[in-house]
Amino acid sequence: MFLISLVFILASFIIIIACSFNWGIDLTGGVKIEIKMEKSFTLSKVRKLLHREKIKNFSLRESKYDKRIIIHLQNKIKKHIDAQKYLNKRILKKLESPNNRSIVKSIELIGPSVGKNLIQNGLTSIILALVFVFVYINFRFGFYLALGAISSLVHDLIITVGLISLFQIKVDSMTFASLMSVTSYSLNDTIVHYDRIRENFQRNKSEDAYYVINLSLTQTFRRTLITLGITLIVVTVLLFFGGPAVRNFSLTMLFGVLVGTISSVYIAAAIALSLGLSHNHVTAAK
Amino acid sequence: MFKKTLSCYPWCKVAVLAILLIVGAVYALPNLYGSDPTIQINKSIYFNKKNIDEIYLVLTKNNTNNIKSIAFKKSSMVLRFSSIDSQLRARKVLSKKLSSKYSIALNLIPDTPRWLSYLHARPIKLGLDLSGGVRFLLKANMSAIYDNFQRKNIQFLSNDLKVKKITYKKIYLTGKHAIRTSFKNREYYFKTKKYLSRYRGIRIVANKKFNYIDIFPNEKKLNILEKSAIKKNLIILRKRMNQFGVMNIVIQRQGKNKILVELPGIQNSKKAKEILGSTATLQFHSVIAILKNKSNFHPSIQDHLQIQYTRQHQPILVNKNVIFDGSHIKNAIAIKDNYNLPQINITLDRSGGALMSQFTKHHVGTLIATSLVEYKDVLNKFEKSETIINIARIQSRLSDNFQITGFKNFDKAYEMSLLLRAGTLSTPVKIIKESIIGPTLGMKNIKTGVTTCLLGLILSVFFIIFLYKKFGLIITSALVGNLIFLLDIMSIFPNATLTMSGIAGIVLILSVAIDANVLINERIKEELLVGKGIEQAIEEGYQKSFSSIFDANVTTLIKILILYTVGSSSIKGFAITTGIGIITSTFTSIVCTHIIARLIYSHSRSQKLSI
Repeated sequence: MFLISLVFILASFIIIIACSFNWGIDLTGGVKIEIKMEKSFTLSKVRKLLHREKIKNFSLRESKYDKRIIIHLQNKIKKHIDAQKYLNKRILKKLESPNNRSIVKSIELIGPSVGKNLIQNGLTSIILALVFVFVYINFRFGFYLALGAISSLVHDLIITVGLISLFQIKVDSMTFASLMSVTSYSLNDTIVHYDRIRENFQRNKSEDAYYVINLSLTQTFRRTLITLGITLIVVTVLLFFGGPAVRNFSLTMLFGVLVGTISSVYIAAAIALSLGLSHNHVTAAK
Repeated sequence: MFKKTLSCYPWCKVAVLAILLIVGAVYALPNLYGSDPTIQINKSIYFNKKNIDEIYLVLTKNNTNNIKSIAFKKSSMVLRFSSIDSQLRARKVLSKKLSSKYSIALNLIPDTPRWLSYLHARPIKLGLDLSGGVRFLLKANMSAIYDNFQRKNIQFLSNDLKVKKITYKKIYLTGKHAIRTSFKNREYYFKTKKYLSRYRGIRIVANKKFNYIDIFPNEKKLNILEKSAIKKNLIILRKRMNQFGVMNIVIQRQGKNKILVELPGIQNSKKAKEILGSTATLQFHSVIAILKNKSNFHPSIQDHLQIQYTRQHQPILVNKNVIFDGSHIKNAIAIKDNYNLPQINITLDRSGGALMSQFTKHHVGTLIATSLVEYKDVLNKFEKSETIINIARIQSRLSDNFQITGFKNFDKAYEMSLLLRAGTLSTPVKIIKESIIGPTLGMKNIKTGVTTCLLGLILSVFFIIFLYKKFGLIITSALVGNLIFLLDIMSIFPNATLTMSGIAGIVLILSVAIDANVLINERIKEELLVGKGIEQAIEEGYQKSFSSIFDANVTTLIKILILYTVGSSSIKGFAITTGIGIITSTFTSIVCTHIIARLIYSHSRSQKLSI
């Protein structure tokens, strides 16, 4: 089982390096275009057009103040003049029709709306959080189990991030929330297993560690499946019907929840076991 | 943990629960009401009847009906409109016809009915991605930056020319931010021109007829200057808004010298405008003399002296040289002194402290003036205005901690302290456009997202009821209670803003809550299988699963706490929502379901448990 996980982790790293990430417009900035249409124009038409032109990573807003549509595009155009040509060619000509002309009110380059240190900040918080979680689990469940829990969490994070890269899921300020939710779910799962392991160790004082762990995992299996099932129902509904607002989140959650459950069942305790977990190492419950 | 009082009806507990639920539902109601577009009209002092009539006249004359309601509060008048169009029409009319002593600000304010707001029930604050907001476009005035930069270069140039033994007639800064060097001797003119051509980063315009050379920074250099000035402004504006308590803002650079600021609907957008545009900073000068009469002195005679005026228009002769300015202020706290007068306690950074200490060492017994410097926007030019707000005698050598007084009231002192703390803008900015903007994600997308969340919730409820039957119903009611309590606490919490990340957190919380209940139910089933009685099985189910739920929730809380402390503002939003959610879900999933279960199954004669 370890081998498969290691392969996945390695694959994730390779994918991340190869495909890189699809950075959202929050982080990169881009071009801001204000268009005034003669007659009012629905946002959804503009959205469809942008999709047809294969422009990803845009944001579309309506400014009711002056009946304008504001498009934020992400692209590598550096100079003002080039942006205008590009815009004319790809978008404006298609939006216009003989009785509905458009006037470009302004085209400007805009900077990123989130600070550049979002990623740095996110990484620091995750690492710190993992450290504190390790300390707590160590205190409640013992050293080896704590190690197992942290390795399972790190495994989840790496594979989920790899999947984000593979499927080019947009990375923006919401990605962090998705990743945190995934780890919280996996941690929740892991602790439920651990609690049962601890209880069984207390009951069967003389049994072999392998047997106890196996027993605990089997006992909690039904609950694991049910919770997984319910979460998957919610996430799948969100994924298929939720619209673009929640799509990134639900896709990440879908992958993460599956990976997390597998890691809680097969990796967390198994690592503890292979490192030499025995009865004495599991601290007594409160 | 749970007392084994198996045979008493927990009626009182149920009653408490029911009351909590009803109260919760009431406080969650404001969220069902939407927001209204509003206009806030402010006057610097209280409105009197004449003002109100004037405003009414303007409004009715121009057919601006569609006003939903009008409210008065001290010195502001809030008009609510039924649509954004009518709000904007009214704004056009008001800004044209009303005199400039009124200030007008646009806003989006929630439409909570009066009886609810009497109870202090409010809707949740929504982030920019979920609700609309106010958008300001600021333009930065680069003149000061260019001038400062060129002034430094004048120093270098004159030194260089001296070394090269080139004499010039004059070096000065032109109105177009160029360094102009004029020569008497044509030979020097050519020599300088040749010498300057070696330099990068500049652009030279030479005038052979009148023998002068203009030096401008070149395009690349200009871009660098602009970029760093705007960057500094972005940081300071962000700090200011955070100090002011507005979370969840978007501040980004637009074009070469514009800044875009978006705020979710806040109560006082006039205040926000002031805070954004404020260029106020402090400068400290040493006082030479307090003048009785302005005409007694011509400041142009002595180059290093200047006349500044106090708020009472008394002229003070000060040394133009600034001892140190507001950029050295590390911290500023507004307090009330022993006589209940407002003052600001200022802490300087090390270099500022050194400057202060150096100055006061040699000037004990003399007067030092605190001057408030602002750049006021007059007809598209920024004019520097300096007002002396305080003159103090130096009692002893001061270093990095001292107080300044001379404020109108405590509110002004408090505002000043906020601005001082956040820092001075590197260039003055002016608000050139103000508008209402829709949510980043788009109204339609949000509606779809929220409806599907509910749909997913309903589906999972069906699943749970199918699986656990009656106990499933108990769990469902606990989930509903969970959501209601979560909404309540988030509405009351001052810092809590709901963003899309927050909704992600809510999905997580729901799954954790369901998980807890699944654990409990599975445990109860296990106990039943072993052969325990109904009541005992319930009790032991709750008791035995408590430790795992507790541990799981504590670890999640630890993570959330770390995220909240270390994370940036968007992460904070997620952390607050999830943190509150964990507490409410622990309460509802465990305590509430327990009480209800005991209510139903205590003293019950049935042998079967519907689970």
